[in-house]
Amino acid sequence: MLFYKAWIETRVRFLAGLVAAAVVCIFYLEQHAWLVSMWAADLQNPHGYHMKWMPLGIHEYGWYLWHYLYDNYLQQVWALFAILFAFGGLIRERNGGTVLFSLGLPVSRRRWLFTRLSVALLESIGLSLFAVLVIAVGSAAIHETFSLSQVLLHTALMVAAGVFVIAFGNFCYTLFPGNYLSLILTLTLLGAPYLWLQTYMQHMRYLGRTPWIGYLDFAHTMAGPWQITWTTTPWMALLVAWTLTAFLLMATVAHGDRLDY
Amino acid sequence: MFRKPNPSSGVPIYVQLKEQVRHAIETEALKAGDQLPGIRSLAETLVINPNTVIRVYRELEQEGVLEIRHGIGVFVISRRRSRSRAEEMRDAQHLVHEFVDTLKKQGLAEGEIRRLFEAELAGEIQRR
Amino acid sequence: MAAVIETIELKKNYGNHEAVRGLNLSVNAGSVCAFLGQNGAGKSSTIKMLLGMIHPTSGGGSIFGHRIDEERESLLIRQKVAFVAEDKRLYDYMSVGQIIHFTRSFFPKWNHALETQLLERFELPPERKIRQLSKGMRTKLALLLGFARGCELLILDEPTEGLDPVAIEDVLQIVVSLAAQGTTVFFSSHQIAEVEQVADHVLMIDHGQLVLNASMYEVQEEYRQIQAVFTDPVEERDLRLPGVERVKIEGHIASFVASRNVDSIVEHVRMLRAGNIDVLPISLKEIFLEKVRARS
Repeated sequence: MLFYKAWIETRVRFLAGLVAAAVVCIFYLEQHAWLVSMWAADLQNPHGYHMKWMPLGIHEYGWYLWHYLYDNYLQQVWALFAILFAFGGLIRERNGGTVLFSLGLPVSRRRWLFTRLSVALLESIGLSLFAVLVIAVGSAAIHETFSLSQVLLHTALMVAAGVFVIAFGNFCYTLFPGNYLSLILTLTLLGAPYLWLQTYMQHMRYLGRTPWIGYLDFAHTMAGPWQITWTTTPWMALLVAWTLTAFLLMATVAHGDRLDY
Repeated sequence: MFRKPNPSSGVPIYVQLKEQVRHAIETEALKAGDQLPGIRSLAETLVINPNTVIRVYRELEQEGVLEIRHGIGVFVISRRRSRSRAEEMRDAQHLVHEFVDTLKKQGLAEGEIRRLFEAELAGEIQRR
Repeated sequence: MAAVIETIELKKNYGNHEAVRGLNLSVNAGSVCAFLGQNGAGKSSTIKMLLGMIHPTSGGGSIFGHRIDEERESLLIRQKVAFVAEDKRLYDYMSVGQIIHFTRSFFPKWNHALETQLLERFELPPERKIRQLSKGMRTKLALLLGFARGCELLILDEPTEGLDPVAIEDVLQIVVSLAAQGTTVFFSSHQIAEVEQVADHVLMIDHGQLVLNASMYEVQEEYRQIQAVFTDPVEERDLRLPGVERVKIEGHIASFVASRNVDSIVEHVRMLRAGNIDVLPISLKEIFLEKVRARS
C-alpha cells in the first residue's frame, strides 16, 4: 500500500519523463541520417571539420547512440527525472498537512523513506527501459541495426551509477523541502561540480592522465565506454558511486530520524 | 424514557440522571420489579460515560431505590413499601411546612432559610 | 488498574520556549480521559511526543509498557493506538474508499462492521475524492479511520472541532460505545461541556505544566467553591490551607475553590469567625478558568 501511495504521488512526473525521454530519443534517431551525411561531407572536404570521432560516427551506429544519448542528452533527461522522482516523502507531507496521519500509522520513518526511494528507483529503471524500447522501434524505423545487448548494458550502467543522483536528490529535498527550491538547489549542487569535473577530466584524459578525482565524475561513469565489456566497465568508479550513495542514505536516515514534526 | 442530561446546567450529570430515575419511579413509568436499561446501552443512548451510569445505579441501590442483581441486571426494588411514594412526599411536605414556620417565628428571613437548606444538602452530598 | 499511558518528567523546549515542563501524567486502562488546556498550553506537543512525532528534550514515557522515545518501541505503540490529529487533512488524491483500504492494511484487527456503520452514518460516499469533501466530512472520515482500527487506545486531538452539533453527538456516542467495550480514550478538547458529558478523568495543562489531575468523581465530589463572610476582615494568608486554591478577598468576603479537605477547611473558616459560609459545587468550566487565570 505504501508503494501504491508513492506511485500515485509521482505517476504524473513519470509520464512526463517518458515523454521527455521519447522526445530526446526520437529527435536524435531522426537526425541520424542527416548528421552522418554531414560528417561524411566534412571528411571529404579538405577545409571542413575533421574530428577524431567522425569515422566512428559515420560507420558505427552504436557509437552514435552512445554519444548522443547515453553520454549526453538521454543521460541528462534521465538524471533530471530521477531527481524529480526522488522528491517527496514525509517532509512534503508536512506542508500538505497529512504528515501526522502518516506518522501516526505503524510505519517507521525509514520504511517511508525506503519505499519512496524504491519507487523512485523503479520509475527510473522504467524510464530507462522505455528509452530502450523507443530506440529499438526508432532504429527499425530508420533502418539501422543496433546491438541490443550494448544498449541494455549502457542502460544498466546509467542506472547503477545514477542511484547516486536519486539519493542526492532525496537528501537535498529533505533538507530544503519545496519542489522548485529543491530542484534548483540540487541542480546547482550537482550541476556545477559535474560541469567543472567533466571539463577538467576531459582535459586530463586528453593529457592521458587519470587523477583519482575522476571517480567523482558521475556523468562519465554513467556513460561508460561506448563499447562495454567486462574489463572496460568502470568498476572502481561504480564502487565509489555506491559508497557515496550509502553515506548519503545514512545521512538522510539520520536526519529524518531526528526531525520533529 | 430517559432524556439526555444537560452538561452545562450546573447540576452534575449523575445528579440529573438520579433525579430522572426517581421521577420515573414516582410517576410509575418504572414500576416495582421493572428492569432498567443496561449500563452500556443507557450510556450510549444518553451519550454519557458508562461509569456515570454505574455510579447512579450504585448510589440508588444504596438508597434503597434499585436492586442490582449481578449477571442479570438492575431492577426497581420490588419489596412492598408500607407506604407509597406519594404518601411519603405528603408527610415530608407537612414536616417542611411546620419547620419553616418555626424558623420564621424565630425571625429568620426566607432567603436565609433557603441558604441554610442548600448548605445542609451540599454538606449531605459531601459527607456521603 | 493498569496505566496505559505514563509520562515521567516529560519536557520539550523549542529553542528558549519551554512548551512542556516536567509533565507526569498517567491514564488508566478503560478510562475516558480528557486533556484540557488553552491553545499553546502544550497539549499537542505532549500528544506528539507520546506518538514519536516529536522527540522529548528530556524525560520519557510509555504506552502499553513500550517506551515513547525509542524508534522501534514507538512503532509497537502505533500498532495498538489509533491517533487522530488536530489537522485532519488526508491524502486528497485518494478517494474515501481508497484511503480506508490503505489504512485498513496496517491494522489486522480492523473493525469492518464499525467501518460500514460509520460510512453510512456519516454519509461518506466511497468513490468521492477526498479533495472534493467538505471540511466536516473530512473530519468525519479522519475519525472513522481512527475508530475502525480496532485499537485498545484512542488518542484524539480536538476530535469534534469543526463539526455540527449532530455530528458532535454522533462522535461522542461512538466514543462512549467504544469506552463501554473497554477501549481507553485520551482526548484533548476545548469543549468543556463535552468533557463533562463523556470523560471520567480530567487532566488540565497550562503553560506546559499539569495543573489538575483528577477523576470526574473527585471534581464533582471534592471540589467546592466556598464563599465566607467574616465579621472582621481577613488576610489571604489566614486561608492558606492544604486544598485551598487561589483566594479572592473583597473586604469582608473571601471566596476560593477547595480541591479537598473541605470539611477541615470549613472548620478552620468557622474558627476564624465567619458569619456565613456557602459551600457549593463547582463546574468544570469554573475550575478550568480558575486554574488558568491563577497562573496568567
